[in-house]
Amino acid sequence: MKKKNSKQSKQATQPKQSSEASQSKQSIQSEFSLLSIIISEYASLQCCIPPWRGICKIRRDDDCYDFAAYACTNQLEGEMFVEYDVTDIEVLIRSPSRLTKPEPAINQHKNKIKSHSSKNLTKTTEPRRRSESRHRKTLSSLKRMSLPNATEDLSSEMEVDAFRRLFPLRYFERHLAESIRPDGRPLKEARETSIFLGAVASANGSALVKIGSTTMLTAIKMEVMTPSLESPDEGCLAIDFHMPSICSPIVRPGRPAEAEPVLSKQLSDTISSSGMIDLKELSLVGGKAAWMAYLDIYCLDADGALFDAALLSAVASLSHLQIPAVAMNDDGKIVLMSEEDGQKQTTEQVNKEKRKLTLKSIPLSLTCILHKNYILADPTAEEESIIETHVTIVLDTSGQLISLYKPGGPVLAFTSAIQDCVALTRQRVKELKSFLDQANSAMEVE
Amino acid sequence: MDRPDGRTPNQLRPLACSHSVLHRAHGSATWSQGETKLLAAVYGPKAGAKKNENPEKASIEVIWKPSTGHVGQAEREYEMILKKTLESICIRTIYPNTTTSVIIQVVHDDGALLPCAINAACAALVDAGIPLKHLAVAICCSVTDDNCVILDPSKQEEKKAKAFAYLVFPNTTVSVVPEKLLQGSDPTAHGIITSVTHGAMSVDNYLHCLERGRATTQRLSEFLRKNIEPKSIREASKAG
Repeated sequence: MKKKNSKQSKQATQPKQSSEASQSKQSIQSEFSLLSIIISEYASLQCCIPPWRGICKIRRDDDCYDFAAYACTNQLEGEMFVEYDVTDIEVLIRSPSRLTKPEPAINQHKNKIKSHSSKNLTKTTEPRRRSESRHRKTLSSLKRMSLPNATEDLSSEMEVDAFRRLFPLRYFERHLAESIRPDGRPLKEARETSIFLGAVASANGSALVKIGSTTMLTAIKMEVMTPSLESPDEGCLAIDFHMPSICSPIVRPGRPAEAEPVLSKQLSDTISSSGMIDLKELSLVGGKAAWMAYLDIYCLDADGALFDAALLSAVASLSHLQIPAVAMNDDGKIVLMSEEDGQKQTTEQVNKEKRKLTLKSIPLSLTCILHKNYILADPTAEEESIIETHVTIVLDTSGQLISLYKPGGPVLAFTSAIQDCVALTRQRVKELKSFLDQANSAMEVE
Repeated sequence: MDRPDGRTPNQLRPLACSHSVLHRAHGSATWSQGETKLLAAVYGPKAGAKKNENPEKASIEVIWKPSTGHVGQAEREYEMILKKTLESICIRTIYPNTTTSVIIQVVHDDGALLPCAINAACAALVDAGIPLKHLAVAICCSVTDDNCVILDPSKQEEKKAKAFAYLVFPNTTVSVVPEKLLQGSDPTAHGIITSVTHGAMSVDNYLHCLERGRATTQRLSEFLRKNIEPKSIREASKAG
């Protein structure tokens, strides 16, 4: 702690701002610093002495306590800036010695730490991306350190992180009462969604979909197979959903997640019952050859609403799918046709040209969670773990109900709630359809 | 609307239920609707919760045994739906950190397999004396091509149907607490615990299914109630 303080004072005595800034830049770049805090302190408000600047680096939680102690002993006042790429985080630190002194304005007792977007602070340090959880942890420990001396309004603010962990349901309900969710969304709003087609170059069709931080990567590989006797003029679509252990702390390496087979089944049921793909289109030679499409979905980040993201990525990859051109050679075998072959071997019977599948109506989904009378659209993993009643509704673009899936849960779904969920899904389907069309038209332009 | 077996659209197949059929299990029951027949056995509550389960609550594991072949994706899905459905009717705070195993053996599948399994599991849980909030009754409604809703379809009808929905309702409290009848109908009876659908249908069709399914639950829960009653009365008289 002492060391820290001496460091602070050393930096504080630097007369020129620019040299100090460059020095701090170097020292920060040389070491891995998790968070750097720039303090612009007014030594005394009464006499308006120009500010000196000090830089405090916080690398571990312990550094926060050191910083707190430093802040207290030096009786900091004024504003503190947390250099980080997020906005709207405000940490208040009060110096206890100042609190005891009678002063006219409350503001003078406060040390404000404001988080600014890093562009405001580019003069001192390069903007760095850091994991939000670590950031939160650091900030929360910043909050904690001044807890013993805090007044009531402050203590309620300080304990948020502990409250969130100890009483997740109550924490959640406090938010609901204010019609807002822990991540700042309104109750019925879905997270930001993005679709990127053609993410896997070696696959015949692929898509990378993000809903919030839930990420799904889907790739389709086409193979020629002999169709089964029951359906000689139909191809086949095999859907597999994978949850590797990187996607969530719940999934252990080596042991497949419980959700894997269930989601695979749900996805293939949904796609087959929607009638989106005509399997006859995948036929090559009746009874002899047909396409087998292997659709593999990899969950890269599981942060709730897995089915929605998986279905969207499956649908997006199917819309991106290009069936390769094949020809039948003299032995009656199907061979892949490369670009040059197409012109050269005109005598050979050409079966198919490179083409896209025609998708009839596209099924899209929305997962809602029900809690008491609240309906929350597109839950995160945290919300899903707190509230057990999930309803997943799949509608196709023509408005037909493809699936209404509610596996148990303590809350009963009444007809009115179902109708509300259906209305929300309708809206969401429209939104997703426009995203999908945008992604497809962007591909065509390229 | 003609059905191959001459039933009316609202008519269920003959129901049969017997309990305590296995004497090594803590609770067991068979449930049959027409040709569809399942056997459910309950063991537990056993000490300890499985990994990834909340140890502060009693957990349920479901093991689905198909009549032939291996356990595939469909069976895994059934297991998950059954587990979540049964967890929502059990009072899970009574025996925290325990696991109750429910084993479902398919004897014969002739349509409406999952609803029958839920009914069988529910009867077996009651037989084992696991504390429940209320019973659950499950029904299968199928929508035909001309948008008619038929109840409890056989496998043949299920294949022909445009879409079908498995619905699980809490049992009407009327059959448990007759006094409630005087105070008007209980609102909990109108909610659905579980809904699983296959095939495409319009939203109106689904709501129609809900209505028709709900109307049948009273009959089903009365039947379930009647079948569970004798044992509990017998035991009470033995104890007394």
